[in-house]
Amino acid sequence: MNITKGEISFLIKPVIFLVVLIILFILLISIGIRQVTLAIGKIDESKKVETALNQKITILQKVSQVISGDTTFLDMVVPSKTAVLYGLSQVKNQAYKSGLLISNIKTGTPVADKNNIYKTSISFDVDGNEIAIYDYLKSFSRVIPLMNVEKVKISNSGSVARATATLSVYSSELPKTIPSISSVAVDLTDEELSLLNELVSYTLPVFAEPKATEQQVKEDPFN
Amino acid sequence: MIKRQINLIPSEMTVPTRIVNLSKLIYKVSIIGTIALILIVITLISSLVYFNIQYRNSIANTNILKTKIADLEKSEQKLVLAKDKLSKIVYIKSINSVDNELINFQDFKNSISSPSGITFTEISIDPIKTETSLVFQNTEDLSNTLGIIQKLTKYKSIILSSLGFNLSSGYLISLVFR
Repeated sequence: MNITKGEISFLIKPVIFLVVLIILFILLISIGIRQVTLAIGKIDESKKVETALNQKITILQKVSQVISGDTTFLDMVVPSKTAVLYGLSQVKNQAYKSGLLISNIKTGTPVADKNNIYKTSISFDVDGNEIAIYDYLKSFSRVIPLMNVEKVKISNSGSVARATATLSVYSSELPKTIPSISSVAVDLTDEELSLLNELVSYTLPVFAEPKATEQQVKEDPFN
Repeated sequence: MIKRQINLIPSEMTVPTRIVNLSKLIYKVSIIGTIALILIVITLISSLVYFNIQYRNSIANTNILKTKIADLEKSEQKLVLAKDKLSKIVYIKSINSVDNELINFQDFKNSISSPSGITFTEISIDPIKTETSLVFQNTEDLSNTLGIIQKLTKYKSIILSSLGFNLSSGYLISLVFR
């Protein structure tokens, strides 16, 4: 099929128009689809952040209900400071409750353990009824701050027994950073909640509260 | 009067009908394509505007939520502290203590308690083992106690590390419970 020059010049205009149209079509589709995909991706990401933040708010509101008071209690379980003082308070108070006599108390220096936990040893002698000594030593498994009886030697001399015990009391620094606002919050697990409930039943250290001296009314020397 | 169409173009210069038809077809396709192109442009622009509005709304919501979280900062501090402390508590509670050994040994001691015949000289307890020494005044108490020890199930192994006899105190045995 032969096409003459006249026929070509007759067709060239509509063909160029069609080709330009096709090029525009291809460009528009490729750029347009890319832009729409990008926009949908941005929205998806933003929605994900929104959902995470909503979950975080729900968790934080729940936490403020579960841990309604301040967290001083939890800081006492594994104290950040003065763990030995709390430990000594428990050693003496538990002995006093059981009618036992404490002597030769010695404390060690804090030693770094795993997970940023420090262990300090307290050793002492305890004299009294043998059964009371056993109960006394077992009582340290349910006291605050958390304490561990590491080793004990019990010797009998007649009706009175003497135990030489070494306990460990644990301390840990407070977390230094708070996660960013957009970070995901992890709720307290059932195990953690039951542990919290268990800890509530533990014996807290007792400290004597110094009472303010009563103001004495001075006598008026002129009346 | 009949109209007559007169074509004065020379016949060799006339464009064949098929070329004219093809040109018309291309024009038609081009016009349809242009309309489709315009429609696509409108659709794309409107969907981009719609998505942009949605994105802005989502960003605005996110900012509101971030403000709410900032207000709940104290709760977040509590949560962080609670999580940190609880993980440490779990670790500390997993550390071996003498509690179990104490309970097991006390049970053993209660089971063999004899008013006069047996004396525990010294008991040494750590999380892994319990060592003790017992003094018996007669062989009957010794054999009864060994019989009880044989039946103990709470220990993996019980080692009789020494057995001695002294005229003044009687039979002395040393035991290691693991």
